[in-house]
Formats: sequence, C-alpha cells, structure tokens
Amino acid sequence: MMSSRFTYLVAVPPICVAAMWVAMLGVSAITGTHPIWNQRPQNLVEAAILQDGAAVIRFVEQHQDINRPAEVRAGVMSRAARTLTPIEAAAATREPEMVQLLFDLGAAPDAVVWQKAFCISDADGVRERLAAHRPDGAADECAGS
Amino acid sequence: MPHSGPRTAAYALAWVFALALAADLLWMPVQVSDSLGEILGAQQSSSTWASFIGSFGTTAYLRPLRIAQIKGLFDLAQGSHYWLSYRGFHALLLIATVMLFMRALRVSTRVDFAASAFALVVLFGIYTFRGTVREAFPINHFLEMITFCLAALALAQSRGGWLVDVAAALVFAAAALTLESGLLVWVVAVGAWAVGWRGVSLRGLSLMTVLLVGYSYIRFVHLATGLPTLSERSAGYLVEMLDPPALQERFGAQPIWFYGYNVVASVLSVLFSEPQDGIFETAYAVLNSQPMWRLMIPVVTSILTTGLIVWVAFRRLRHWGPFDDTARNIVVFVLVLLANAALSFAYAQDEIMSVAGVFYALAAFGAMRELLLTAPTLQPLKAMACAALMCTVTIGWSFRTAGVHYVLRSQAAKHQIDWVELPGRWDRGNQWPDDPAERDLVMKLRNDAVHTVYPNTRTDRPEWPSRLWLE
Repeated sequence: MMSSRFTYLVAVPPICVAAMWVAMLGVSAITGTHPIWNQRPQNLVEAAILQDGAAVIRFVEQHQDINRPAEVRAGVMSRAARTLTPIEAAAATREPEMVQLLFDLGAAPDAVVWQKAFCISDADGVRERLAAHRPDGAADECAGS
Repeated sequence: MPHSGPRTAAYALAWVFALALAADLLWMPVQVSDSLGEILGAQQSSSTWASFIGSFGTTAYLRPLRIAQIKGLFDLAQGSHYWLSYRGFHALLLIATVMLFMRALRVSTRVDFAASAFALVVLFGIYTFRGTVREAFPINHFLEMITFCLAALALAQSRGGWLVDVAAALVFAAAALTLESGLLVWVVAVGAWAVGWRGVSLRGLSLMTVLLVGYSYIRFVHLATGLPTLSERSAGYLVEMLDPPALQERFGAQPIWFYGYNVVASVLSVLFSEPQDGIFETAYAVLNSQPMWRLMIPVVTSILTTGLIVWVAFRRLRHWGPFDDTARNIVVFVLVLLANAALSFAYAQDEIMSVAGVFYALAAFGAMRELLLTAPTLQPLKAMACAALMCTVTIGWSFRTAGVHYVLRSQAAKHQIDWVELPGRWDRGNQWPDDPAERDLVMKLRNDAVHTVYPNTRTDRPEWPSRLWLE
C-alpha cells in the first residue's frame, strides 16, 4: 500500500503533463486556434499589429489593399477599437522588420499617412525604414517632439 | 514479480509523449539558417553517392553521411513534398528515439513504471534535449546521434550473435560518418560490455575498434581535416558570448584553457543545467537583475536529481556486488558523459551534449527506482522526507517538460518569420541565386512555411509562458 502511494506521487505529474500536451494539440487541431496563443488577425492591419508576417503575406495574396486603413478590434492594440493603415500599425509595433516587409510587399503611403507612421514610433530602426521610402511633401516633424 | 500491465502502461505513456512531440515537430517549417544552403546543395548534387563522395576533404569536419542523408530525403520529396520529407523524418526519428529509450529501461513492475514516467520527463525536460527538437534542420543530426547510441545500447542488451555484431559495426560506421558525436556509439558499446551487457561480443567490439582506427586514420592522416579552431564560431565563456576575434585575443596563445573550460562546462550543463551553451545563465541573471524563477527551477531539479544518482552510486559502492541494471545505467552514463564532454572541447553547446543527457535520464530512472523501493522501508519521518523529494523532482521535471511545447511553438513562429523576411532581404542584397531552379525551390520552401498557420508567440501575449520557461 505504502509502495503504491509513492509510485502515484512519481507517476501522476508526468501523466498530467502528457495529458495536457495532447489536449493542447487536440484543441488546436479541432478549433484551429491554440488555447494559449489564440490571437488571430482578422485583416492586414491586425496582422501587422500582431507582428504576424506570414498572415500579412496571406492577406496581401488575398488582395487586401496594403495601403487601405482598416479597423483594429478592441483589445488587439488598445482597449478601444482603432482604425489605422498597415504602415501605421507596423510603426506602432516598433518592429523595423514589419515596416520593411510592408514596403517589400508594395506599401506606398501618401505624405499624411507617412508622417503619422513616422510620429507613431520613435524607434530608430522604424524611422530609418520609413525615411528610405519617404514620399514627396512628407514632413518628419512631429508635434511635441 | 514481472507483469505485462506496467510495461504496457509505460509504453502507452511514452507513445502519448512521442506522438505529442512528433505533432509539434510536424507543425513547424524547415528552418532557414544552417538549412537552406544544404537543401540547395542537395538540389545541385547529382545523386546521394555524389553528395557522399563530395563531402570528403572539407576542412575541420568529416561528415559525408550527413550531407548524403539530406540529399536522400531531398530526392524522396520528389520535387514538392519537402516539408513532409524533412519534418516527417524528424518526427519519425523522435518516435524511434523514445521507443529505444523505453526499451533500454526494461520496465516490468509498477515501481519501474513510475520510475519510467519520471525518466521520460527528465529525457524531455533536460536542456540538452531541446536542441534535438527545436532546431528544424533538414535532418536534426543531434537527435540522430541519440538514436544511434540508443540503438547500440539495445544491441548490447540483446542476446547477441553475429548479426548483432555486424549491426553494431554498421551503426557505429553510420554514426561516425554523420557527426563526430557518432564516436560515442563505440563508447556506449564498450561501456555496456564492461558492465555486463554483452549482446555486442568482443568480436563485435573488435570490429568497431578497427572501424574507429580507420576513421581516425582517414580523418587525421589521409584527409588531414584537422580540428575546429578558435576562429570558426562564437562561444560562451562564463557570463558572456565571445566572438572569434575575442576568443583569439583571449585564448589564442593558450587555447588549452578554453578547451578545458568547455569540457568542464559541458559536464556541469548535464549534471546541473548550468552553464547553458557555456554561459552561466543564473549568474548572468543575477548580474543583470533578470527573473530567476525560470532559471532556478531547472537548476534545483537537476541538483536534486544528480544528488539522487550520486546517493545510489555510493550505496552500490558501499555494498559492492554484481551489477544490476541501475548500476549499469549509472556507469555507462558516467562514461558517456566524460566522452561526450571531451568531444565538446572546441565549444560548449547544449546540443552536443544531447547523448549524455539521454544517458542521464537512464541513470535517473535507476536512481528513482531505487528510491521508490527504499522509501516504504524507512521510518515515517524519513519516508515523508523521501515523499517530499519525489514530489519536488517529479513536479520540477514535469514542469520543465511542459515548457518544451512552448519552446517548439515559439521556435516555429521564429522559423516562419525567417522565411517571411528572406525574399526581401535577398532582393535588397541582390543575393538571389542565378539558377531559376534554385529560385523556384526557395520560393516553394518559403510558401510551405508562410501558408501554414502557426500560433503567434511573437507578441508575448500572454506573458506567463516566457516568464516560466527559457526558450
């Protein structure tokens, strides 16, 4: 009896981990969404906000306009829903690679959008990428800076 | 008394772990770094044999079978199923490894079953195992080395015969010509024979030794491929990563000190989960005020488990007698640990110690089995202390194993983003290959990676996984 109590002590935690692992994969396979990392972008702008480069490419291949503003749902970027262009969203992530990816995929912001993106992020890498694609008439001065 | 029930239960648990891990491995793209060049090389090669022969004469390494295998799987993909070919092979290797590991445990009682459950979480949770599943190379040769070494152990534990001897020699030849760590197959076979597992006979060991001498002659005399130098790669040292110029500056005159550090660091990494890749992460975290939780759990579980193994080893030394499987596992582990660490002299890397990590799990199985058999015979207070120890180490290692799922999901997202960014980077750097067939292959691999949806771990939401587990 005593012996079996000890064996339970040792065997139960690994069995629980195996069961949880299979449950995670099972839920992912059935629902298409991982139980822990379950944020799925609904459009190109959300994909940029969530730093999901592959989703950005998939949305572009589905002919979503890479320069068009779209709504970011409440909770994805901030508590309230917001409307942004993809390049503004990418700048907001402070990830230069995401800004670069959008330019590689053909993003061409006008002067107003470009300035908004420039002022959203003060990350050097982001501003460098934006500066390399600066449209005519775009100012790199931000209010309060 | 042996029963089939515990054995069946142990294998059932092993299959659940193996299939879950295999699913995670399949849910991952082939990685770009250290992989794309080799896949493009396989495309350019006319045949597997040409890849094999063409690999002789490269500097510092002798790994012809490694390149040949990548070519073989490339051809198996038949121009389109690269993900299935490479990732599928990784998943199959993992399953084979887990089953060979279970075979080595030889479970027959309820106590064995509990100890085997513990051994499985040690196997998956130890840092040295992570590289064998995290790195999505065309073929993960670190995992392959584990498979070869466990195959050698299975042959040693068999009833023997000339076929077993020939198989052992073939396993050794295949392993040695794939990676330098393959030489550990010889250490496993010799160590197993010394402790009484004599499925591989003296005749078989002699054959393997002749092959070892032949390998050494070809490598160091005929081809004169030499050894890795300080200028080849960055390496961890104490609490920092040193690049080749820094290594050259600090150890160029006396590299023996650096090599000695690497050997010691490699041994410690298996026994105490510190340092990792040559860097003492816990010390680094203290110096840089980083969270300690995710570092302390692995270190504490490893210290307790190593202590348990040492306790069992001392008991056996005090009551000297014929070797049972527990003693055999511990002796073979020590031999493999020392040999594996010696092979890591050039730079300390957790993956290189992956074979020793697996034999650590085998030794841990024997140690936990001994504790389970001893605990019921102790006075109540001591028995309670035993129970507390069992709980701590088992929950600790289970927690570490649970982190492997996080590591694999995180790694899949990283591999995917590398493919996302590759075309733009090559456009800007004018790095695209001239051959249209090579360009088509790159885009095929990239599309395979981009069009699969992976859980997005990049935004660090939720934050708790990265607080609990190191990637």
